[in-house]
Amino acid sequence: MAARVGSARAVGAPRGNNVNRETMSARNEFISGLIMLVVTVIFYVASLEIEEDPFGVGMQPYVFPRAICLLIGAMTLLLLITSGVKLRREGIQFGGGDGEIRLLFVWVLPMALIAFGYLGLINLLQYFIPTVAALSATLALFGNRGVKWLLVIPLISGVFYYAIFFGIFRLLEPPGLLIDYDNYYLFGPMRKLLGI
Amino acid sequence: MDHPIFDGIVTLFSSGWAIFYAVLGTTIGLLAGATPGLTASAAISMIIPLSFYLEPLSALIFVYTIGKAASFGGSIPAILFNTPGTPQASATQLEGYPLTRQGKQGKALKMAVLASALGDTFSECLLIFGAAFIAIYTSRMGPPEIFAVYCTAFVIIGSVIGNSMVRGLISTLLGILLAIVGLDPISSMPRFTFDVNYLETGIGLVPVLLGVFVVSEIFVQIADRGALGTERMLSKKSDVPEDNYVTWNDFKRSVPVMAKSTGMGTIIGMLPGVGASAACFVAYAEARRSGKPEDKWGEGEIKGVAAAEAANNSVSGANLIPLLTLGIPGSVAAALLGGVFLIHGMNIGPKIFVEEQATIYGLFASGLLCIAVYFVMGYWGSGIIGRIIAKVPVRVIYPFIFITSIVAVYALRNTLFDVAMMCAFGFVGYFFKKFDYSLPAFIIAFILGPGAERALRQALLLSQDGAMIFLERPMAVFFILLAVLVIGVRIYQTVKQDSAGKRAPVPE
Repeated sequence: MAARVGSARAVGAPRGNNVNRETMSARNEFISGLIMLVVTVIFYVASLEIEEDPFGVGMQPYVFPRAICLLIGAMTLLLLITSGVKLRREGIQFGGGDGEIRLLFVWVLPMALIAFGYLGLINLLQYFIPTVAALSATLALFGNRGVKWLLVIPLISGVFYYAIFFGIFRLLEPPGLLIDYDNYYLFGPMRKLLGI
Repeated sequence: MDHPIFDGIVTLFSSGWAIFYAVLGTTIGLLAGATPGLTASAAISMIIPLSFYLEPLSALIFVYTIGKAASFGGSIPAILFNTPGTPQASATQLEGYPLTRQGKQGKALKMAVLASALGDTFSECLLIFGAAFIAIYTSRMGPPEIFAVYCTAFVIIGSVIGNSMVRGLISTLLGILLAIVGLDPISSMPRFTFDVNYLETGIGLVPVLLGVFVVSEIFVQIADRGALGTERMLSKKSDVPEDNYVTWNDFKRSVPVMAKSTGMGTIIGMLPGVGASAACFVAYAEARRSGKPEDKWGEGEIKGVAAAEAANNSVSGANLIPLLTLGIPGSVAAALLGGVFLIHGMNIGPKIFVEEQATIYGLFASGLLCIAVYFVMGYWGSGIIGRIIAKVPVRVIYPFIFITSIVAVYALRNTLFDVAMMCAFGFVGYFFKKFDYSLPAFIIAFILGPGAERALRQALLLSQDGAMIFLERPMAVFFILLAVLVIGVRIYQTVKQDSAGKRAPVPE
């Protein structure tokens, strides 16, 4: 993936005048501004619930968070107004972002679902089996195919991860609701051998 | 001969583990930097959970050397494959890849490592011999001055990094806002915990780091399906022997450029948040501007490689100066190092030079060792690293990074909540990347936020006149004016660029 080279512009490289880029940028600014505004409102409302310190001297605990919320709100409004003016001037309509949304639903959300599914499976089956399954699913999502990539390598890697994190670093494994085993019997002799 | 760096060298070399982690960190940094899409920040984020299990000096050395070596490592794919491994190698590819196309990749890689090592050594020496002097002055600063410095840092990182000042400032403010989630440090009143018990201790640094740097990148990669199958081909080497090494003439021509770029990189490195990506382009632009008519800019000019690499590596030592003297990191890598200091119970700030002298100078000594190691590995091994990178496809790297991140974040507190937070911040990072918000500004502000609030509250406790205390202290006034000046200059630049854009004809 090409790295971000945004810094080039920061040092005076010419800005693109391309109308498409400008309008895309204004539309993105407007959408992101709306999302930021929603987040800010949620946090501001939550800041109203911060209690006053009855014994407190100096600044109350809610002052700083509320000030930050107000500053973000002000900056977000500025973003919305400037991008809104740009959109109005160019007469741009919303839409055309279907590709991005499709990418999000087809590729990014499944990736996140694997992570959350992995967590759910750890609760049921402890660590090892979900790791192999999650690695296999992630490799498949990234376009890898075949027994070697979807079974052999996840199995070997699962053993490696399990030995490093649970064997050597002694991570605690939550008991599984369906399968429950104690890895002490697996790693006790190994730790003794390594002198840990 | 009684400078503390000699004690630092003794501290470093008296610990086999410290040397081991310096060499291991350098190797991992080189490989991480050389892997396109895997930045130094991502590599460090994955290592930080491991640092909990290490001695403080070993943990600091491990993280510091990864960041340092990755800065050079990024130039390897930039030169060989026209794909910078890290953002700071973007300027290197402009002249480095044309040299590769002429079969002169050996010359370009050797010049890159030579310039990197020279720039880095100068910057490290400035850190070793200059930081303590600055710390003497900054140790006299009280809470009002410290809060003013924080404000200036927030304004600089928010308005200078990235393409939009408004989006940069929003990123910074959002970082501060999320940093104050948890119990209030003075009154213990819950703030933004939304009745979730896990949030009472605040949002953990590691889930945030792994989320915004690693998981978000994986989301971007999976969405950008086209890049997954990309095969990287190594170009054929030239048969002319002198095309494969840096000749005396190449070195002589590049020395003035390297010296100037090192100076620029060092100064930029000391500014909070600006970082190596800006330094390499500033230095490259200056080298090109002051070039001679016979130079072949854009067609493989070796001076361009030297300028970019000297500048981006001279940032890595210098950006520890504001971290250690003011508690304000010069870059994301420095901010992450600051996080490791905090994890091991060390308060960053000027007093660290007295309280943790052996550790600090041991860390500086490891920086010198790291430069020596990556010089040797880079000078004779860049080609091998390039061949390894060419063989490992992206579609295999990211699944492993994803699973490692999940295990690493779970390892911290044995709680699945941290994994959920990491995924949530993965989406935050994805949103930031898609909508061009500034992740470095967000993360630096997230780390600095609690310190800024503490300084503000302490300053107001000291004051009889409320916020007027900031106008009664000359140094605080100076920093506030500096912040205003930075915003003013950025607004002026934006307006100027916009009006130039309007005047220019729109291409068909």
